[in-house]
Amino acid sequence: MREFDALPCWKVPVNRTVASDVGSLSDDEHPVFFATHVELPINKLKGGSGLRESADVLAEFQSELDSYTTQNTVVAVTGPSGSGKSHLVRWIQAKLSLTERHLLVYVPRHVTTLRETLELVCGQIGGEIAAQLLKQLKAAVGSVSEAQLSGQLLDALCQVLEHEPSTAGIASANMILPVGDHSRRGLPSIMRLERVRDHMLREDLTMHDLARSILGVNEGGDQERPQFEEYDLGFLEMDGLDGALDHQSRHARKLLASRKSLRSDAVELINRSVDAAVQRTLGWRDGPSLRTVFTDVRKRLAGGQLVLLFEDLALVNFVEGAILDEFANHGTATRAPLRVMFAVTDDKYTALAETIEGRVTSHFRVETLPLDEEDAGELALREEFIARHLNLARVGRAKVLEEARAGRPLPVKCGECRSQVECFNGFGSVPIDVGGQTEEVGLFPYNRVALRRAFRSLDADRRRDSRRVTARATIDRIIINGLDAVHNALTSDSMPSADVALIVDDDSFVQTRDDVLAGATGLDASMQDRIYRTRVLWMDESRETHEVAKAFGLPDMGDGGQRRDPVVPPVPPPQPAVTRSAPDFVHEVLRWVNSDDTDESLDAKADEDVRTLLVRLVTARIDLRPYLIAPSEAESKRLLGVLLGRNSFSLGGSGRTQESKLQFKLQRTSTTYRLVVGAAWLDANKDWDFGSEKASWALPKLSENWSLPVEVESFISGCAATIESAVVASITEGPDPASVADCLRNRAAAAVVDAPPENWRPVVHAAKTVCSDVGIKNAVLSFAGAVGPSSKAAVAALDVARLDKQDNMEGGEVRLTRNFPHLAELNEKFNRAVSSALPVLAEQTREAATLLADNVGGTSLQEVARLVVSAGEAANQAGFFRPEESYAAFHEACGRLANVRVPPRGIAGRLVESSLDRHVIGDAAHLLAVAGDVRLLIACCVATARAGQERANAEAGGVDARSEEDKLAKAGKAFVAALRELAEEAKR
Amino acid sequence: MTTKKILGSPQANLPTMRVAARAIHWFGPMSSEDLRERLRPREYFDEPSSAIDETLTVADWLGLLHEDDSAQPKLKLGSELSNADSWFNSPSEFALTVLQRLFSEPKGTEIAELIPWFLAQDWRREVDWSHDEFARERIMNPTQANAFFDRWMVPLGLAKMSGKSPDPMKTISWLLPSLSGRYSGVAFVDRLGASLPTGPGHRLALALAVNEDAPQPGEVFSSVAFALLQLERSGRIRLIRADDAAGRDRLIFRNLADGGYTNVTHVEVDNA
Repeated sequence: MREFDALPCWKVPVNRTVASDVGSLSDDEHPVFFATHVELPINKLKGGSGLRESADVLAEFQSELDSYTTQNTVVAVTGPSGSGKSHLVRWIQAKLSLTERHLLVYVPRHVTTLRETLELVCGQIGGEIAAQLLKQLKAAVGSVSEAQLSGQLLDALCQVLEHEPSTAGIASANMILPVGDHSRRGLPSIMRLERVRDHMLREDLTMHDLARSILGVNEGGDQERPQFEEYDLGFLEMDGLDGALDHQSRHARKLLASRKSLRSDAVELINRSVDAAVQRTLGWRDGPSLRTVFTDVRKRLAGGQLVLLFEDLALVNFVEGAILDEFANHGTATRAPLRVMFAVTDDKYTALAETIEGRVTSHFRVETLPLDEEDAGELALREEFIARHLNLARVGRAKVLEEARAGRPLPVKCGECRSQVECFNGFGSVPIDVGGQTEEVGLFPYNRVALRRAFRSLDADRRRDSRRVTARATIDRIIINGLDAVHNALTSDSMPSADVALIVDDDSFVQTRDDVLAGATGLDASMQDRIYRTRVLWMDESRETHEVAKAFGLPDMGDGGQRRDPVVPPVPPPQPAVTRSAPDFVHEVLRWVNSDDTDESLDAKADEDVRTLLVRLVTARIDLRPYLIAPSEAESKRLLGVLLGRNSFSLGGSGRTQESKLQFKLQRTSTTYRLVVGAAWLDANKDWDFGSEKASWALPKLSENWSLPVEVESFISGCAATIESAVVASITEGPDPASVADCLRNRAAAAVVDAPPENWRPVVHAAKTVCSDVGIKNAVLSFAGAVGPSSKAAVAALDVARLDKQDNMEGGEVRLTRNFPHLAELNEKFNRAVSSALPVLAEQTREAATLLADNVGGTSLQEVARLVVSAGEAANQAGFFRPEESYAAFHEACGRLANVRVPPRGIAGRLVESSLDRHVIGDAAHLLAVAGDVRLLIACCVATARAGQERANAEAGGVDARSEEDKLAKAGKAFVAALRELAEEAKR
Repeated sequence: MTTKKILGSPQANLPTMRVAARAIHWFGPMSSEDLRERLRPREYFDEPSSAIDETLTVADWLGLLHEDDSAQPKLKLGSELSNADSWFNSPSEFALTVLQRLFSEPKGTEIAELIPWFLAQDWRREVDWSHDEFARERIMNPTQANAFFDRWMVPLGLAKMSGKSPDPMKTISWLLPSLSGRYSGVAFVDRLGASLPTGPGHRLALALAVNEDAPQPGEVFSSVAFALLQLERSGRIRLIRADDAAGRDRLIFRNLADGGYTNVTHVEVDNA
């Protein structure tokens, strides 16, 4: 910093030297005014069209002054507030050539009160009548206080409303101002009540402001005279007013209190009456007025011209009507014509249009300061504007005036500076014309980057208020505030400080702070802040130059600060082929990462967008096929959904944490920003070709962008691998869902038997539910399915080796319930049904086994069946098979038993021990079925044997009566014995 | 060409090949009919699938499965799969075994020819096979193209994204457990080269003349370089950049726009 001579090279406060409001400059300060004059864009809107320069406007107006036409010339100069309208009028005034034919009346911006205006106008016009007017004015307002004048104005206002209100176009005027016997009533009657009067004269209301605007002091800018608003009518809400009012006024008050539209009309009626009220207060109704002053001077000037220049017509309060009326009175042989030029804001001009449009002969519009950086002409204009003001700040107002008085041209401070070359190299310079010579003016402390950002920042702020960048706003922000802030920063070794950044920072950056600060690590935080601001705001995120570092007092990084060449560039980054910018959420993440507020959260929408994006990319990367998991099947999809969702990703703690989800936390770092940029790129473009003409948008500036694909691919692959592992773990760490499902299905199928015993029916019901449930098939296909062609393809084959493992579920119910709840529920329901039926089933099984052992003994079932079927067939043919109707069932049972598998021994015990074993369940169910068949056979045999014995007894004449049980047992044994005999016989 | 046309059986795929091999190992040799019924049991499937037949055909070509000479032929595992401990529960080992068989098949396969071609392509974007003469001679139609990229390159760990961009990161990561230690860059890619064509100088790439320029020692495809960088970022390997290493030791990345090289001189694999 100290290596540049005499930095900072301007004095503070800068507003003592540089004025943003030209109206604040006195007439003898023209050299200061000329020192900053630049050609602003001017459009001619009436009396021709197209772009003009100041000189064109001057030439046109001068030609009118040189002419002898008696028609008035009225030139309007409009534009937004602060655009330079007053500047143009003042410049014209300074350049005009006037002769004895002309009388100039010039009203600068700083003259705004009525008294000042009249004193100035009358003083310039001169004459007896003007003198009388001034005398009258002095008498009216010369010694009154603001309060007294307020009261007088209120009285006059009531009088105007009572006797000469301007009601044109106000439909409700007669309701607000009902016509009485001698005057109008209603509103003025109310305003005359003492309590209302006290209210209206309050210092915070408009009546008081009105008095101040006649007596008071200009506060600068495009101020207009006070206007009444609805809040001035607050008295309408007061209680107890009606008693003091006549009935017409009472009715009007009620209407005004209850109808908003009427109050609005009342305000309009009051505002229309203000000028007349002021003129009444000043005594113009009976004595000389401004109109009579103009009439007098124009008559005196006959053959010449009255030249009126108003830097801001809107500030000519209370006499505006008189002046505008005068514009309509053209000159004659005995009355001098007017040559008028006035400046006024666009809004005011629009409001006056109805009155003056026909009187205005030419209309110029001063445009806002150009911001288009692509237009070289506009850029040069903007830079010259800044350079001239910077030079003025450096030279100082006194020096400018001194040199002007000595007849010397405007001095350029940079020409005297020993550090000029170094400064121009570091910050740039702009040529300006000084007395026909071109001089270079340095842009320090700005450079072109900083200026561009400063203008963008200003533009953004102005747009928030629906305004544009004007000359005045530029001077206020960039020159006055900016140079003050830089001065403070330079003298306190903190350049560029946070205050300076407020001027220059347009909140745009494309790199993370870490990237920008590459090579500047190891410095204290304060210095890092300064370097970061310098690199972003002055260098467009590049490293600061040697000169900038010296000027700002930053450490010289030397070669160590240079970024090293990329070590492993798989493909060098080409220039982006497209200019569209990255999605909004990318910018939001960058802003968030770079924010100084450590507690700031990422914008909610951006946060949502990023997490959705990451889920999409990671999901597409997950490949479960190698693990023989079919990703398109319902159960695997469900499991994946349990493990991965938008809440799996958290940016700086965002997102709702869900226990079931895997968590990937992204910190508020440049790494995260790079990841988001890369992920967004991959998602949008499906490739890593940063230079592709087909790219959706241009990759933001990133350090070492060649490594972006590596970073992003590694992250996505890492997430995908973590999720793949979690899916596999869900399957392998607990009971294998495919095996459990397959086993359950097999057990259920085995449990379904025809004509089940009563207590087994719930089991059959549960078993049928299992067999028909799609979840079973889903689980098997999902977790033991080999998917061939693609992730969306159907399962081509099952991993039967896995299914055959027969998971025993030992201790795995909890895991199964957690990971595969539907499957666990099916399994649990089926097992519960089996468990409920088990005791009875075990008992029945035991009985069946005993029955078989008792009745079949050592004979195999197959053998018994073969014998019985022959005997039964013979009995049936002989006509004594009993019960006759059971023969068909008997025959079928024999058929089944002839092929029956021998039930394993100890089946009942095994059933109790291993109730969930599908083979045991199958065997038990089978045993019951066999027992049922055996019972049928025995019953048929006993009945048939009895019938045969009865037939024999009938033939022999006697019946053997025994108990049924004995009959059964003995008949069975006898039957078997008989069958054996038969068999023996058959063998023989 | 005399090479076998695996892509002529476009439904053949690695997962089905693996479940077939697992079934034979688990239940013992069985007839192909029996195997088909087991792999697609009626309680879960209504219709047969050509994927199984085509997969068994390709597995037979590659010597991974074969039928014995008995009167009622039964399918058995090939010698490459005799050690089930390595591949039965490891998808990656099975994929590496298949990859090895692809390259060792005496008559050659078009997939083995296409792999070095594929790895030599620009990793940044999808491969445009239809405008490449070499590829078009081996990939007859879009169906075969899909089969090549999705059913072979992805499961073999040679591609990700859509399967159409080369990225052998997975394959190399599968090989790392057998490569613990520190190697010179050239030695490391030589070791990888036993299982994978790593660069234009690899025997498979040379035989097919994938590149026009004469390759240099240590020159690797940019897709392989990309894979190595990812593995380094994930901590699986460390690329050592010794500034003073001899030029002949460094790795050179192929297909760079500026023909550049890196000064990666050593690779360290720490499987601990």
